[in-house]
Amino acid sequence: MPRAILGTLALLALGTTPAPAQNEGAWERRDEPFPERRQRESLRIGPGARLVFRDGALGLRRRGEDVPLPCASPGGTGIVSDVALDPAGLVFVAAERGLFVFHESAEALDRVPAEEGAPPGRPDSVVVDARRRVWVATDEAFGVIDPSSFDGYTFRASDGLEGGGPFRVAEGPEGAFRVASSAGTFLYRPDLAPAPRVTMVELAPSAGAGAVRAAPGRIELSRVEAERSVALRYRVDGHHVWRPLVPPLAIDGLAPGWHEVEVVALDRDLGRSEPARARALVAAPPAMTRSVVVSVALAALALLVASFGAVALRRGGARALPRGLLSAAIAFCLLGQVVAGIEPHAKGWPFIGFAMYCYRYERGDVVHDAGLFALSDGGHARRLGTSELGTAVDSRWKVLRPLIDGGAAVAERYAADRRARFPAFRPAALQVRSARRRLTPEGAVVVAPLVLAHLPLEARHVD
Amino acid sequence: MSIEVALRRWERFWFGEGSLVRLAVFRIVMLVAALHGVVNYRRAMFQVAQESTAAYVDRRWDPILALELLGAEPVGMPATAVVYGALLAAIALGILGLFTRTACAVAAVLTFLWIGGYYSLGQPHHDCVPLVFGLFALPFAPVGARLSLDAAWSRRRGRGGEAPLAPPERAPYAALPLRLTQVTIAIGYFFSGASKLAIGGLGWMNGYTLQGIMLEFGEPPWGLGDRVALCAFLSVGLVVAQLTFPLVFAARRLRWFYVPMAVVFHFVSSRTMATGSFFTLWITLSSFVALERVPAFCAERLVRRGWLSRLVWAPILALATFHVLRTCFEVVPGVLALGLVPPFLLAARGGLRAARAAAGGAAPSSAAVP
Repeated sequence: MPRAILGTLALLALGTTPAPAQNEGAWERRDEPFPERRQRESLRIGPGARLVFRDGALGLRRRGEDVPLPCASPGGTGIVSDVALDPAGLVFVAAERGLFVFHESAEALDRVPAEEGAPPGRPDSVVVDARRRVWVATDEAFGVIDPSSFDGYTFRASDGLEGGGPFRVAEGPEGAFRVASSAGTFLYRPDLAPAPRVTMVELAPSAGAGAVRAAPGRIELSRVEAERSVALRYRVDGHHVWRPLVPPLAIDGLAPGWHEVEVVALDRDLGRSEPARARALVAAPPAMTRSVVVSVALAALALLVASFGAVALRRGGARALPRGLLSAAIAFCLLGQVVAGIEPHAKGWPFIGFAMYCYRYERGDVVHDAGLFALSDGGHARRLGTSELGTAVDSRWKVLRPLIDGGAAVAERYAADRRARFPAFRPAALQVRSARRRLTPEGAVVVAPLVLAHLPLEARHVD
Repeated sequence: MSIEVALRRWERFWFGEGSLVRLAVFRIVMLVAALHGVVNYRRAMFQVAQESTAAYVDRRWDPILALELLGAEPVGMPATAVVYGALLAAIALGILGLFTRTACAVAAVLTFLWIGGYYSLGQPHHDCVPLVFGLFALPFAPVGARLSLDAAWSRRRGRGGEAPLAPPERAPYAALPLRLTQVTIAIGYFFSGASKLAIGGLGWMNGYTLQGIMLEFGEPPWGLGDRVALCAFLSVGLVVAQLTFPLVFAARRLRWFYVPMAVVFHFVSSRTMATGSFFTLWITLSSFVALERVPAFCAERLVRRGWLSRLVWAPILALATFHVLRTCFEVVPGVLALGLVPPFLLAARGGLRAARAAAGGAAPSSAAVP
């Protein structure tokens, strides 16, 4: 069954409503012909770097020198039909074999994966707006993609889209887009309707008073309702990745303890609602509850004390008892470490186990390296240490996540605090960027990063 | 093996006689490692105490089990400053060897609370595990018997007008802290290797995994990011070395392989992965080293042996000193130069003496060895 139909059924089951109100005034039929594709010779993509266009192919010029521009995907891009530059520095390329992305820091073009809701088909044209939404027209569909996750939305007839493919898109006046289909040329104005809203998030099983006592390791979303939305996303405990919310609505693999689930609704223009939050207490497996762990540990210690103590008394009398007790303590430490090695749990520190770096990478996987960057007006990017203000503790995400979620206000605060310590710090923007490398037999290929947040600042630095 | 034999071996292993000088050096090394960890974590601890965490930091109190059982919560100022001051004082007294056992016990408890508190703000890590177990074992050994103010004072006092006591060389329980640290390290390495195979499977050693882990940190040096086959080879070596590390207890000579391998592994991983320097774990590997023989070892190779030995060992010891000083204290480069000087001076001194002796037709005197 096509994904679009399954998704629609899922949305109806979830209680979301289609958004006909969004169509009012959004579409306007135009009599003028669709504008001719702009012919470019080159496009500046960063300090000293330009994309060069030659006979349907792309080249790269760095500091005046032409260098190869390979493609990390087998088969290359095919004929390139359109290119668009993102305010954060990414370059999106519509080509015969798909939508590709590049960045001046990358070594190769990389295919944009077809994530949830992204428009299918062979891309013809691409536009990136000031809000960093990537509007894509293909031979089959017209839609929009979020460049920080590559998921998106494909427009349907119920969204006011008339006609069928092939589609084309170009910039229009005042934030609108020109869209061509088999039915003619139209002007589409996004963001006219009120923002979507999540009206209900229900977790199961309910324990009353807004809290949920969930099964070991799992949270189940039993019911989600939203207004004016076409898709739902969720995340757990403030994770930076918002995942598509589709049935079955169960989130597995959670550690015991309280967890917060946030759900946002998206409209067709990827406008996002305020997050709706629900909390659930995920139970520990029975053997790992605090009472069981402490009881077993005390019982083991008592057994060891009794055993070693009895042996010590038998062999050396009362004088040997301290040695017996010390032996029991040593045995307890070793036994605890061995048990933790078999069943690791971080909260048991120093009995912590050693199951770190046990995950696997395979050929073709992408490795992420997230960081915080300061961008100058000229586009120069410098990576910032997240621990320099003494804030990151052990994880850079403790600084990156608030910047992603907090937006411009948090970015200004961070910049001001950093400037207080480093007076010369005056970037044009902060960027939370996840550098990506694709693993190949020939080595790791640097591809375009994911820009998770692009935060222009008021105080600027001029190169 | 009968139970009686097993018990005797157990007691000999943990409570048998050991070198008091080695124990004393180990005491100082462990307390310096504790100092490094405690000072490194102070900024975050004081930020929480002063409630000065900014809006751009996500910080939650998720206590480790031990602190949860104690009902511990983050404390404000001046309590945090008092604890920090007491901790530094205990470490300093332990290093100097004044009220040594008490100071070591206080340092162990407060270090556990300080590091545990820091981990409760983020997530626990593995580098301080052997340090904590080793610190807690120190007070149960005669840690103040050598290289301490306590020992110097009691020897000067003597007994009732008699000559000052000769410093003891060995004593029961002296090996206890070193042994517990050694076994903790061995358990850690074994389960690191075993977990990789149990969770990741044999495919963990496909080369892409190690490559990917390095790339999470940035650009790995020495072209490792481009060499999948080399990463596969290193992966196999890593897992095998970790799994077989406990063999150090089967044959002492194997320590000459496993301990340098561990040192190199942590040095390489600090340069290629997001693991950090693992400095405290690195330092606790000294539990496998005959610390009391290190000065004679260095002197032998820098002074008594020929030019080739000096050429090889002077840079090694200088770089090792440089790296330890830089990692431990983040001292300014000018001060770091002090760490480079002694090995080269010793090597030059030995060379001059050898040259003079050769010119005079006699071998250099062993009495010249410091």
